[in-house]
Formats: sequence, C-alpha cells, structure tokens
Amino acid sequence: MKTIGRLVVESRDAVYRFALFRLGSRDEAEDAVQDVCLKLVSGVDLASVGNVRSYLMRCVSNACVDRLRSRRSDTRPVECAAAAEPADPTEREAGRVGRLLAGLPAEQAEVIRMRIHDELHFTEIAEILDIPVTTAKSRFAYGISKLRRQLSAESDC
Amino acid sequence: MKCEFFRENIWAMFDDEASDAALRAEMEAHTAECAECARFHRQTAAAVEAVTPRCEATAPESLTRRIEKTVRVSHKGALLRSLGAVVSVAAVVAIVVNVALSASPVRAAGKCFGTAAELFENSKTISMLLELRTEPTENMEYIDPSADFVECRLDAVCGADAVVWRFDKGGRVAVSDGRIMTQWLPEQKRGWTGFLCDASIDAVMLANPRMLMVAEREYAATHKGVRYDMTNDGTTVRVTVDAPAQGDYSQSDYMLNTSIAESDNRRVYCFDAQSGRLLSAVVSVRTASGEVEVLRVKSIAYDEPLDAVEVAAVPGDIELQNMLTLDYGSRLAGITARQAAEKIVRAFEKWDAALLDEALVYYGPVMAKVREMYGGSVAVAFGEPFRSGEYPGEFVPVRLVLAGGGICEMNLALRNDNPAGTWIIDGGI
Ligand SMILES: [Zn+2]
Repeated sequence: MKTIGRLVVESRDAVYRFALFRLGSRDEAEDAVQDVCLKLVSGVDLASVGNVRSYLMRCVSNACVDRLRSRRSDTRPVECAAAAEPADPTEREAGRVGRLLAGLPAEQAEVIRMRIHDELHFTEIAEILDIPVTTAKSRFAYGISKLRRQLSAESDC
Repeated sequence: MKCEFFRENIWAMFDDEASDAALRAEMEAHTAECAECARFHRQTAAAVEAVTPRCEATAPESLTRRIEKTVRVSHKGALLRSLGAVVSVAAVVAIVVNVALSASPVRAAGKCFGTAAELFENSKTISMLLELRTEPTENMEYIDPSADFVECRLDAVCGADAVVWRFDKGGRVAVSDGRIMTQWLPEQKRGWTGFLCDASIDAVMLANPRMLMVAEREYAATHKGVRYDMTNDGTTVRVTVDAPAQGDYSQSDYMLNTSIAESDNRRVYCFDAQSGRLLSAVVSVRTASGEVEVLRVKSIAYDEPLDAVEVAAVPGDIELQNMLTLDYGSRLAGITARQAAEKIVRAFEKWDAALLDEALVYYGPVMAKVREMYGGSVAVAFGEPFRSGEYPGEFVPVRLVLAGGGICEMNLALRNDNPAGTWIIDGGI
C-alpha cells in the first residue's frame, strides 16, 4: 500500500504534465491530479492492479476525459474563454499543441500525446487504453500522417 | 522493403523500445536508398516536432503540497523507529572516538594501529562536525540516501574507564555517560532514557571498542561478505571496509538503505600516519541509482576543553521515560501481528486508552502528539504483514482516514520481543 502514496508523489510531474497538456489549464490540471490522488488512496486495492504506473496514468487519463466532457456540457462558451491567450507559458504551449491536434480523431490524438508528451511506450499506451499494441501503433501512424499532411499543406501555401 | 510497409510502420521510428530495434534498423536502411520515404520520414519528424511541447512543465509546489496532504507518505522511521536497536551512526562515530580516545590501546592489535593508538592516548577530547543524510528528528541510526545532508555535532570526552559522548542532530540529541544512553527531541521536550550502552550500541561493532581496526576486523569476521582493506603510504593510513546490507530482504526491501548497516556500504577512514589522528571518515551506500555518500566528517578538533558532565548533561526541562521500567501489559499477547495491528488501529477511533497505553508504551513521552495525529481516525484497509532488514518484528500495512479527512498510509512496525510477549508499536506512525 505504500506504493500508492509513493507512486503519486514520485510521478507528480509526469501526471501533472499529462493533465496540463490535455486540459490546457494549470488549475484544472492540479484539480484533476488531486481527484485521482483521492480516488487512489481511498479505495483501490493495488494488489488487484497489474502495472501500477499504467494504472495511475489510466486514472489521470480518465479524470481528464471526465473534465473535458463536463466542460463541453457546460453552458460557458469555451471558445470565448479560450480566445484570450493565457499568460502562463505552459498553458500557452498546451493551447498551441492542442490546436494542432484538434483536427485529429480524439483517439489518434491521445496516442500521439501519450507517445510524444508523456514518453510512454506503445506497450504502455496499449495497457493504459486497454487496446491491442498494434492498434496503438496504427493510431499513432494514422494520426501523425494526417498531421504531416496538414502541416505540409500549410507550408505549401 | 516496400514503401507501403515503411509508411504503415512509421511509428517505429518514433519509439525506442528495444524489441523494435531490428525493425527500426531495417527502416533506417530503407530511408538511405528510397528518397521518397526519406522525405516522408523527414516530414513526419517535423510533425512530431511540431506537437512536442517546447517548455517543461513540472508540478507546482501547491500541487505537491496537496498531494502530500492527501497521501501522507508514511515515514519509515517517524517518531521512534526501533528505538531499542542499534545506534549505528553513533556506533560508527563512537568507534572512531573510542579509537581516538582509547586510554589504554591494545598495542598488540594491528601494526599501524598499534603505533597510531599510542598517539591517541594523548587526545582526551574530540569534537567533530559531520554531515549525515537523514531527518533531523529521526532515530540516530536512520539514514535516507535521497535526503539532504543534516549537520551533526559529536563531542566526546575520555574518562577513566568510559567514553562520554553527545551526538546532536538538531532535532534529536543523544548522550551517553558511558553506561546509560539518553535521547530526546528538544522541540517537544520529551525523551527516553535507560538504554544500556553495551546493549544499545552495536555489540559486534563495539565488542572491542578500543581500536577501530579490531572492531572492524571483528565485524568482518562475524558478518558475511565484509571486505576489509588497509593501506599505509607513510603519511596516511587508510582503512576501507565494504559491507553488504545486513538483514533479510526476501519479503520486502522496505528497510533497505534506511540505516548504514541495512545498506551495501563502504566505510573509509583516513588517519595521519604520524600523529595517528583521524583525518576523515566517509560512509557511502550503494543504492539502485548509484553510490551515495551518507556520512562524512567535516571537521575534527582534538583536546578542546570539554567537560564530561556537561557533555552528558540532559536539559532539566526534558521529560524522560525510562526504558528499563516500562510496563508492557499483556492485552496484545498471544495473537498475530496483523491481529494486533487491527486491534490497535481500531482503538484509535474512540481512543481506547487502556489498550493504546500498552501498544504505544514506547511513545509515552509523546502520547499527546500521537493522539492529536491519530485520535478519531478510522481504518480502511490492512495489508499482509511482512518482515524486512534487521527489524526484529513485523510491518503491517495500514490505511487510515484521519479525523481531519486526510488519508494516511503507513507500515506499522510491531514487535513482541519483550518479557510480556505482547505486541507494541515502535515505528511507522
Ligand atoms: Zn520507400
């Protein structure tokens, strides 16, 4: 049981970065990580979890998806809120990357983020997303090809 | 290789898993001979580059504090881990001191040290500043290779038949009058006394405390895998001892690297060949992430005017508990460690003082503090007990919801090696 506490504390940078680049907001990223933390310590039997690190990342991923979903159902016009460029450089960077990936199917963008931002291997990504490794790899290949076309089209004109 | 295959497997160029090394090599070879795929690869790399964050983002302090508040990472030592056990840091130091101050050196032992020890006779006091990777309030033997150095001070006076010493970590102080050791937490004005020095300091290390060589040789002879080396280049005598971690880690490495004895360690002492005085002492431990110095002597002063009574003095306002006259009780005898842990932790909720006074008998002086921390808390889970290192008891993993709502995970250290055979907590909380 020591591992949960240790793990979250030791992985805090990776977990925070993961949430920040998905949510685009430092405050929200903090809240998401805190949610995960609470969930983990209050009722998960780690003995039943295979790879603890993958499990942690999956929890963060789910927490971000939940937040993004509730944000969409929020009446607040997200576009307006996002229009003002954030002052924080990490939030700005998250926004820039987010806009680049916005044109891709969500599941492809997610694998690209996991591989490039979070430096997870495809085997880990597959475990976290509960998909076959071949699927993780092809999502990456399709997604990055689409992005490649998108960027070369931009540079062509 | 077909170009189509190259494009489908482009992911392999952006991962470094060893299992795909052969595929990557093949693909790289293809880019060398196919301009079209080379271009495809370059453009894909540019796309990857574009979505790669250009700034580092690390968890803000506020988040770290929030996480730590939620998951209070259980301290291995906490208030008083295995208080009755070896004070190995003090022991290492004490050896040095005992050598340096040895009133009647064993002349026959060790060629170089025979000479050195004679010279030591002249030194009546020794004051040493040393740095130790530990927590200031922790038990004297506790080390943490990932912690910062804590400056400690050691003063010792050679009496007629005993060495009187004081070891001060800032948050915890230990003194020995040569017979009884006392230690206390200055901030809490509470402490413990009644540790018999010959029982509480590593008996093996100090079996023959007159000389470091003798003690270390003894250690090498009685502990498996200890290597020992001495060189003398005419100006410096250098003694190196390599010792593997003592204890059993087959169930858990929880205690590994929490004390010098429980680490794969190297102790290097340098003495001036002429004066025989200690020049330096460094202890390093080998951890998974490399070799880390955990103890080093910063400065040594000999023959400072130190008074033995002052060195061993305990401030008058410290409330002391005598370990020799503890009342262990028997409420937690005849059961398993896990059963004892459940009884104890469940008693936290309504603070069953009759049971907790027995279970926390070592914590008498800081009972109010323990109650403040754990009173009203509810146990949510217990794990399988395990043993680790040299700890004579068992560790029981426990998860609690504290009265304030925070969640706390800890490995309760329980032992029943007392006359009553009853389980008592001596660490983890
Ligand atoms: Zn080709």
